[in-house]
Amino acid sequence: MGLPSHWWKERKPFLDALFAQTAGDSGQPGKTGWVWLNEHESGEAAARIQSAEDEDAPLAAWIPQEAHEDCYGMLEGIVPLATRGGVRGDRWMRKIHNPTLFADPARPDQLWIALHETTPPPLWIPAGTTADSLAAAFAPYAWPETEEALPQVVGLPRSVRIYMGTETGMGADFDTIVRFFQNMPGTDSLPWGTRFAEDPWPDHPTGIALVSTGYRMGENMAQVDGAVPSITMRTRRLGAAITVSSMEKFCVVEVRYAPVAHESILPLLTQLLPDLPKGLPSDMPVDALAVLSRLRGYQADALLAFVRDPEEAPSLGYHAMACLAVMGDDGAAVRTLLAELGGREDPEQRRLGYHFASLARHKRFLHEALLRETDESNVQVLKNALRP
Amino acid sequence: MSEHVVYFLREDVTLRSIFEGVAREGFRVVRRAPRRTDAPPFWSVDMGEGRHMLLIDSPLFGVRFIEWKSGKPMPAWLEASVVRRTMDELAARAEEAKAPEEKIATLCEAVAALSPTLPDRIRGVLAARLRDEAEAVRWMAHKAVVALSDASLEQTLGEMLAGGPVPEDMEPWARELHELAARAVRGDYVDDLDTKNEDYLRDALRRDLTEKKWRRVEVAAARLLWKELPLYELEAAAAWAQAMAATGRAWKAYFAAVLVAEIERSQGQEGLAAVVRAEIEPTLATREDLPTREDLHPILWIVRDRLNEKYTEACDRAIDAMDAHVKNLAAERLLFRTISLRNGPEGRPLAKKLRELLPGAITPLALLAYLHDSDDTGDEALADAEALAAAMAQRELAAEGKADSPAPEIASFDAWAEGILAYQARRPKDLIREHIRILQKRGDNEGALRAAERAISAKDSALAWMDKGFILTTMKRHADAIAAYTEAIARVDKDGQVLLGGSYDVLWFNRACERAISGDREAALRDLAIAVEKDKKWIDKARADDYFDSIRDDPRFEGILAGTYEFPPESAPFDWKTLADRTKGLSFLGRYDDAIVAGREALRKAEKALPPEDSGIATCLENLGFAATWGGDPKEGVTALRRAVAIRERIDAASREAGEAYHHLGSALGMTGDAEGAELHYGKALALREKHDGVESAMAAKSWGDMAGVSLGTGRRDEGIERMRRARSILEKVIAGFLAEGRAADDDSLVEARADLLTVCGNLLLTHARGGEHEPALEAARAAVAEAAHFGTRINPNLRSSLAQTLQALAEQGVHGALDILADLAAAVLPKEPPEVLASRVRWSRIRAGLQALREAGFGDDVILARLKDALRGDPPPPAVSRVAGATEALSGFVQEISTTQGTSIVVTLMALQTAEAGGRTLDETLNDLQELAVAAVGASIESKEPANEQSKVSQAKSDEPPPWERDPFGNPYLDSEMNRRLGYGDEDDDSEDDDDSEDEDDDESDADGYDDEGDDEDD
Repeated sequence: MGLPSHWWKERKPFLDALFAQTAGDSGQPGKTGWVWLNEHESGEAAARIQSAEDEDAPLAAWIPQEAHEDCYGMLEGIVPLATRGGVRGDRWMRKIHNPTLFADPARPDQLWIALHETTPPPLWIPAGTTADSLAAAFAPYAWPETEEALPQVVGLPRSVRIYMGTETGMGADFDTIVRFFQNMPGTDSLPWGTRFAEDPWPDHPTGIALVSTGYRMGENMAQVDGAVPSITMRTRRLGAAITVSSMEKFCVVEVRYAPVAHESILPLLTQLLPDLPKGLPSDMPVDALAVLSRLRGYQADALLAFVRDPEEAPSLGYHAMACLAVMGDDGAAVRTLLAELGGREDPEQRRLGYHFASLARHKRFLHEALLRETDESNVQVLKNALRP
Repeated sequence: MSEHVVYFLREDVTLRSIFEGVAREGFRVVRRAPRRTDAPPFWSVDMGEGRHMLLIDSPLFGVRFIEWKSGKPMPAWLEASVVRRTMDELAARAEEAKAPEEKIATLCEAVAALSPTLPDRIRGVLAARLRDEAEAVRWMAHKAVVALSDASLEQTLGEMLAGGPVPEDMEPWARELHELAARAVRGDYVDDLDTKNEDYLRDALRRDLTEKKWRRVEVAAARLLWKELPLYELEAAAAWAQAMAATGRAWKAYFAAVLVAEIERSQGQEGLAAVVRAEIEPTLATREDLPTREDLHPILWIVRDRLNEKYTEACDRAIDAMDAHVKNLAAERLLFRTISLRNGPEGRPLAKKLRELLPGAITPLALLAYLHDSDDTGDEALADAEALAAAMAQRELAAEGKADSPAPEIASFDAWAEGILAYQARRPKDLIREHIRILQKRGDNEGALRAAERAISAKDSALAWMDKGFILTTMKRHADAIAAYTEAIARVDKDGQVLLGGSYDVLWFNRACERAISGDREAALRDLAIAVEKDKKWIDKARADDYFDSIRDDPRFEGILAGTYEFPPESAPFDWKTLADRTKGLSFLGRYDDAIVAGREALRKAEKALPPEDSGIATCLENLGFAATWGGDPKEGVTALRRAVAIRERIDAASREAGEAYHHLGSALGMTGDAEGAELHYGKALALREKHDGVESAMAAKSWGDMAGVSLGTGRRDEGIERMRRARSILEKVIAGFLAEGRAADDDSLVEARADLLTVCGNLLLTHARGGEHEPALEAARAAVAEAAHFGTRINPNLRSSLAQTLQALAEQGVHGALDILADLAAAVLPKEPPEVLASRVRWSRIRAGLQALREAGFGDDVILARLKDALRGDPPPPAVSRVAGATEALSGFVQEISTTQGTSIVVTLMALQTAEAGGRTLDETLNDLQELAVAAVGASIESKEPANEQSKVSQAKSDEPPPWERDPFGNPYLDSEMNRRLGYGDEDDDSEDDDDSEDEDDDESDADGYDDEGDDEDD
């Protein structure tokens, strides 16, 4: 008796083997949890996804305008093969999603996983050609289904910090900016404030916990006195932490995540989105990348280069403040910035450095500067600030 | 014991490289404090096998160091990144430092690594550095002390102050802080516990418990208990019990343990209380000291309302436990038991027992008065209430030295119990009006009045007078009631404004009622205005109250309630002259209703003040007549003006004043339809005006204009037009003359002439338009618009609409040019809204239209409200809704407006929608509110931006711009300079602002730096 073959006529040979290994009974999940679609269902899904190619398309929620045309192109001819068997919500059941396995005739050597059927193709996860590679590719994103504990936020080993702009410049207050992140399709609906170092929400709220979520929102979003106002939320499928903070209205987004290897995604994104923040690490999970791909911004290195560029001198204050905000907890980096400004010849620039040292509470820097400072008005400023 | 070693990260080592190394080793970063400005960030790294490494990065000290708490050697990569220092090395380096930079660096390393409790040598160095000759060094040392523990701080500052001469800038704070630290070490510093921050209290409690600072534990625990937070209750009560036990107050500790047991029971836990009691209970049997009143406090926590409602058993247990152990304190125990049984029939006998036990005490009397139902008007209730009132009056007299003071033990019991009564029942002084209330309910107003008078003689207070006023109101003794309220009002400021959670505003309201019904209209309105100003709740009450029926027709009544009428300050003289002037002024403003009121009042006062034939009375009559004529009651006008004319004629029939009276009477007669009389009096007026002011005077023009009206009204159209032309030509000459004299634009005569000209031209327009003479009509219209432009939005609204309607009618007839003039008129006289506000209105009307479509499609308002809420939460509308054309756009537009308009917020909006859902307001009202809020916010934001920059407008105008998040943060050059300015880094070419800038910088520097010591708490 031969193996059942898949219905897609243009399939590569690996698909039959994969199908035979992983398909369950009709409408039932097979090994690795995928529910394979029949030809009719696939056609319906493809039509649904492609017909959304007008201005109603949810594409804008995922990726900036400049990549839309390419994304539409990439959607042509795609073949939805399997889903996870029904839609799923985030932790507050506010945003549904439906992970889908695709075949892409333009990239036929392997299959692709979209975390939601409307996720644009540049953010599809390469899934290989075998049952094992498919399971491995999806494994990091499986927790909403496995009901396992979420990764501890404080234990997430990697982080990237991006400076987004000022509240004034973005024309939005902090709450609006937080709302923007909350409205992204890739984020979870349960945010928390600096009062909590760790995610205060239940991993899988049900029953009363789910119903009472709204009532606890204010409490869980509270800020600690003296903290840089920050709101953290998870990404929906991986549990990475997205922290939006506003230091003196300079807004920074930090992504903390556990590394996941998707070598092909970032280069493709970079190609489609020339303004993607530079220097993103290649080991970012795709849902975290999906969040960052909506932004433009700079990491600390780029900002420090602006600070050091004499041509940018008229904007020194702005760049340095942005730099300070994005450096955050990294005291050594902040001291590098302060040393840079404190070593300037122009007394006004040095004074700017003192101002930032005050903001960052780098007192020792100020005391040492007082020993060195020669400009009388700066000496006075320092003394005023430091005198007991 | 192993030597304390600290590993400082080398300066060139990045944090990233450390974390990469940690990841390579397979270690896990398990903890990272949230970002705070007042604490150094730290990371705890789990190295497996129960070993941890701590990485601390202190901005204050400018060092990063690792605490390597592992027996195992460091990995090579980490070892290469750090500098190893023993405690001795740190101390030696700090001691040996010579140059100020070195002193700072070594001090920072040592204190950062070894705080909060410094070893002796380093403490010595810090004390020396606090006296260092270099400012920078000793000031750094000053910052460093914030990292110390209380004990270390106390020792360090002690050493510093004792160690030799102290620089002037260090001594005052050092002495103050040393004193505080000493108190903190002793554990009796509790000022910091006076906070609303429960988390702080809990942290203090936990820390102080381990440090056995019992005084602090007691205070923090009591404060936490007081906050009634179930989360912390048990912990606080247990800590309280421990503190009591540790400080030898075994009885109080025992009862605190009872409290712990009850809290545990209510939370379904057990164990802690048993532990606490096991320690204490054995000692109780052998104790010889008796419990004191204070020791019973924990029982209060059990008997208090919250537990008592649900946990009657808990009360019983607690009081049984008390009775079992406490053999003294009979009165106190009776009080507790009475309170615990206050809802049942057993309460009263117990209170009576207490009364017998403590004759002369207030507490049992207050309990007895309190234990009656509020609708109990029986003899016993009255007797109890009267007994309390009498006892309180006696106490009042005693306090003034007019009667004997109660026995000290009675007074002390009452003072102690008052706090309990306040919390568990009602304070005695809140019950002393009870008997008056009962008497009134029984219909015994005379008795109530006597009681109120007794209360006044006991204590001459606003409250007592108010009671008297209430009773007199009930008795319909209006004049007496007014007097009582007046007395009460005179005492309000002395007694304070707070009254049993209410206020004394009712005094003004009630006096307004009484004055209204007594016919004192002015005073009633004035009182009402005060009451309404104090609290808006009186508005509805005033509308419903029939006491006001006599003044309800006064336009000021509604004006006060609507907030549109404001009384002039009471200090202004209200004689007839002022009022007469006011009448004239109000008429001039077109506020005829107000003018009539003022005119009648002026006449009333003038008639009282002046002889009957005085010209002042004629003036008042003229003003009133004018106001009434134009305010819609020409008959009253005619009556008044006939009287005025009669007076004027008797004084001097050829005077200018007589001419004016004729003219006004002419107008009034014209208004009543008596054309003949109008013509006659206008004619007399014209003759006198021409005599006194000249043939071509503004006054003569007025006459011609008004006489034209009579001509037109009687069908003599040509004559009318002729008269109007005459008036117009005179007025044009007059205005030209005024302008040639260089009169100011707001010169009264000029303005009046312009107003007359505007009216005349308007009438010409109307007359010609009706006659189909389009050319002259348009010519008159142009002249009218030219005059209207001088008035702008202040133009008389009737005239404005008359002009507009006529022009519109012409335009509809297809008269060429009418539309343009209409547009000019609109531009000249309509208020201008900025385009942003207009755009916002347009967007809102689209939203409203979409929601209306939903309504028309059969959706109820409740459904629409629910969809609006969903939309705010980001939920898409269900298909049934989105099928209705415009609905989806309306919902998303709504969210867009709410979320992008500063001044509206999702929370407020959700609350508004919830109120609407609950039936508080209709959907339309709610949307109106939200729309007005949003539109007003748009308007306000434009006003605040007005003087700002052109650039932001340009950037707003661009519609193809990406959303903010997708914009380059450095794409806006304006922003750069703006931010630079904010940061105190000024534009160099902006010389004029240099001074301001430097001032700002100084401010910023001190603000932003904020060397507030409590904020610099590096001790984590």
